[in-house]
Amino acid sequence: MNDHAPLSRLALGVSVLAGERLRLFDKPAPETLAVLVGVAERGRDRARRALRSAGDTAKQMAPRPPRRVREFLDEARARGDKTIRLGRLEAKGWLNRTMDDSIRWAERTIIPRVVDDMTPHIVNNVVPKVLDGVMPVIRSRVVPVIIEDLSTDERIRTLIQEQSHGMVSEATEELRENSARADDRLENSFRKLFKA
Amino acid sequence: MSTSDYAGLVTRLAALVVDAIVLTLVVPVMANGPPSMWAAITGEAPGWLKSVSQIAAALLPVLYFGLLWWGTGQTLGGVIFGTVVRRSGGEHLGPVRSLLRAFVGLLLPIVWLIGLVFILWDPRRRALHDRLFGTVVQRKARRA
Repeated sequence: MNDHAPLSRLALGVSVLAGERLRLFDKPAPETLAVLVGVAERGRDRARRALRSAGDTAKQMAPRPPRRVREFLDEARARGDKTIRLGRLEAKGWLNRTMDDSIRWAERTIIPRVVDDMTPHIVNNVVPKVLDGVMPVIRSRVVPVIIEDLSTDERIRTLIQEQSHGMVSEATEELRENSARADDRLENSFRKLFKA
Repeated sequence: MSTSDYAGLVTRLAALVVDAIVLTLVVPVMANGPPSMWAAITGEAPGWLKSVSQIAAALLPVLYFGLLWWGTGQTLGGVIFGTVVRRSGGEHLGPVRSLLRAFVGLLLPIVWLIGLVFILWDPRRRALHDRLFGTVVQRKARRA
């Protein structure tokens, strides 16, 4: 793709993209538009040629028979269609590049400065006001509802019961194992003592 | 069953301490609670209430040990340390045997405690009173 697309084609591409985004027409562009663009292009070329060669003007403006008119329109449509596609493609690339460049530039220069300037203001002024306004509502209306939901949720209750039960079981099991080991140790010592 | 399937001296003493703590807390409440409540409501508690409370408090340890050994074979100490009192053949204790075992134990606590030393050399870890009443104290099998 040409990096330096003609401005008129770029404007056409942007218009087509805008039309597609706004759903003014579907992709590809309608035939009428292609014909119009083709006619305009031809007209522009002719005008250029006319300027270059003033002597040919009369011949160019002469009336045409119907067959010539149809050929003219077909050619204009094909040409317009090609121009629209090319313009659309170029406009898309240009818009993407422009947006990327703009975002990178904003990230590098604008956003850090805005964040640096805004953060103290937000922390010192906005957040306390929001908290002052919101916390009483959270305390009085949100937290009780959450606690109510949690306490009545059968899954949460089962989970807590299982955890508690598991902890107690584990502690009891450890106690029993320790006492059993102590039993064995005491008896072994007793037997050794009396053997000796 | 091997020796380690029966509760040893340390475990049984620890379970006994738990039961002793429970009774130490509950017996005074049983003895003084009802008369105190009565006194708080209407003034002086009647003598019969004091007597009944005293008798109930005195019987509580025997009933605690006796009924629990008869019912489940486990007192609270037994539940915590995973021990259970059974007859020598593994059967549950009857009410007479369990109440008698509790009564003798509470009547002669010193003999009971000294008799626990028998556990150290008995292959089934039986104390003196276990031999006397034909009982054993088993460890409960661990849950899988």
